[in-house]
Amino acid sequence: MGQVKIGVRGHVVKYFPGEQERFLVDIAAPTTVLHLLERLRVDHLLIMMVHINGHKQPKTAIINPGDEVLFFSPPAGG
Amino acid sequence: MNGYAGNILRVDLTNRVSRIEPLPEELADNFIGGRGFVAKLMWDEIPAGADPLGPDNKIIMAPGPLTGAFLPGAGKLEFGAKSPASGGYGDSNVGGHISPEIKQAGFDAIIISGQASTPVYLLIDDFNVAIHEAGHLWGKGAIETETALKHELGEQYQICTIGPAGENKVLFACISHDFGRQAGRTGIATVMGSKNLKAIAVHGTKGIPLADPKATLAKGKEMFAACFAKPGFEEWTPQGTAGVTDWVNEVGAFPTRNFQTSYFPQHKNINGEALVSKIKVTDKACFACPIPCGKYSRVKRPGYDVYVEGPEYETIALIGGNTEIDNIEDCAFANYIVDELGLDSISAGNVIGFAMECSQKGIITAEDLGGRTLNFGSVDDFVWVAEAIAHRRGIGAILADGVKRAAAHFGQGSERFAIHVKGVEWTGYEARYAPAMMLSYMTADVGAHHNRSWAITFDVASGRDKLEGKAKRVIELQHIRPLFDMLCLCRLQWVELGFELDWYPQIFQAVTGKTQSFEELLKFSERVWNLTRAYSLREIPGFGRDFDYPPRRFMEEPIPDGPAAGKVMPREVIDRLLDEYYDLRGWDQRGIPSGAKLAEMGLDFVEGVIAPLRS
Repeated sequence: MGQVKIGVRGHVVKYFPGEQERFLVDIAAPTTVLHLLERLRVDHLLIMMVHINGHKQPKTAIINPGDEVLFFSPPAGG
Repeated sequence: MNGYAGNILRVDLTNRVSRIEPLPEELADNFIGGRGFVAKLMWDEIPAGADPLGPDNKIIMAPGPLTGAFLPGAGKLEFGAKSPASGGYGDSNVGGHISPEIKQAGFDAIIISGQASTPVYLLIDDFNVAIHEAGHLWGKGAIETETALKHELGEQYQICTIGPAGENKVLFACISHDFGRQAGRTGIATVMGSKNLKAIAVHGTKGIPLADPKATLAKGKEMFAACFAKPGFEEWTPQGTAGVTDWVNEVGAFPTRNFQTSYFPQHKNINGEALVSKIKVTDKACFACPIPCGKYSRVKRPGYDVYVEGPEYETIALIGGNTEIDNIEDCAFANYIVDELGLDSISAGNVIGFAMECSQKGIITAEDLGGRTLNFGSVDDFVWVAEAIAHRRGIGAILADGVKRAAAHFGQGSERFAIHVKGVEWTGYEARYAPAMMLSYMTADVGAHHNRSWAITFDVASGRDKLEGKAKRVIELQHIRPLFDMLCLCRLQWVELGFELDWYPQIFQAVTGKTQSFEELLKFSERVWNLTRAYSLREIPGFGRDFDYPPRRFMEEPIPDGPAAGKVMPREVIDRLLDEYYDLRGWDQRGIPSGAKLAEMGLDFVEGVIAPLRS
């Protein structure tokens, strides 16, 4: 059992619980990014990019207790 | 008037004279600035039925009340003119550094009318305004011209230019500024070319009156600090908008092979990582930007060793996916070519993708092409067509009028895959499986452009097979996003950083002294949305619902492969979206605003023109 620090960057924050940019999530065991998003009831297709502990990772990557996970919104410019 | 320079500059190119007038207070009070000024001045000053490429059309340049103040992204400039592409309302904006310079020169708007008899450039040095001969610049590339004028006038000038495409009245020519920033859409550069106006150079040294300078500085500092405190603040910048390329493919919305499909298998060769690892030199920011999205790149090819700003996402989508140029170096090279030619890279990629499909289908023959073919994936073919378009040579003379007119010329069913709305080419999001995004493109007041309502994440979040709530959200976005163009602020802090909208009325109050909630500011934006609709209704015979449909490809051809395989948006679905959209807007089913809606918006002055259209 441990906690994961979550950060959400950009406009998709409104689809996360409580519309919070930063929050903690308890996890009982290592899990994947996809499973974590499912648990948060956020469609993984809303997320452009995931960083775990500062490094870009695929959505199938494993998250461990103590990790910092950052979710990026897709940009709408150009 | 706090927040405003207090003056309008009028330039008459026919008679080569200028004059300065005070900014009417009611214009600022009712239309805020930027896009609001553009829309109102176009309605008032461009005669109904004016030829977009004639002397009666006017180019309007307008900063906003927050331009040049100390807050994130306060450097946008709005351009407007009757669009030669659509025949109706046209605007486009650019970042860089010229907008604060115009404000500091003392102007809240510049109105350019008439036609010069020979090529000229406009030189503005505070209140000293001069029209100079530009014969030595005519024919030069857009960025080449900016470089030449910087050498001629000095680094202190901020400069907008056109390239050969604008000179030759290509309907999707773009205005270039700051060595790679463009006001690309709706053909405002074409209007510049029609006026023989090659460039505008501005230097300003005046202050801008602020209602509460201390509060403005304090609020601006808070806003920058809030930006810096956002999660992942530093981690988006390296790739800029190119970083979204993989995601758009993941959701099956990437324009590919002239929108034949929505997934490009080689997308990782042209994505943000490819840009960073292979060609990027440095980041490049606009005025007061904490998250520079510009990427300055270097491309080497036989005979070329060139720098280009980009490619950003839209260029990657339309030049990369849509013409299937499958490596970042070739995308960047094509980007460099269209930038120098002064072609909008979005429309250029769209038009050239269309031409490649016409060639593929035998609609354009080798005889039409001087013995060659046009092939998807060939950067050499892309560059050949781009140059033919910019100089109106051969087949390029037809393509130079955009996909709508080119398809009408070629016939043989090509209208089905001419991907535009209102004569303005579609941008970087294929929308057959994104109903809100589809409706966004259909109803954007300037034609098929993403910047009025970017709703594709809303589609994903709310269900891409559902129609409920889509029209309502599109309308909300069509008021929020264009409000940024009235204030002349960059939207990226809001969208990319998640910067809260509540900040903006606070800084608006500090700068102007006017107390408006964000909801109240949105009412101004809705007023302008109805005014731009009225403008196109006045100018385009038969304008209305028929002009709001997407191309037939999207209504009749299922996407053949990729994540959105099998998806299509039949006409009955399109009609349901439009019906609800018009209802919510207070427009009739032909897309004409009701008298009550116009009165509610304070637009009684257009009723006399619109009322006869309802009967």
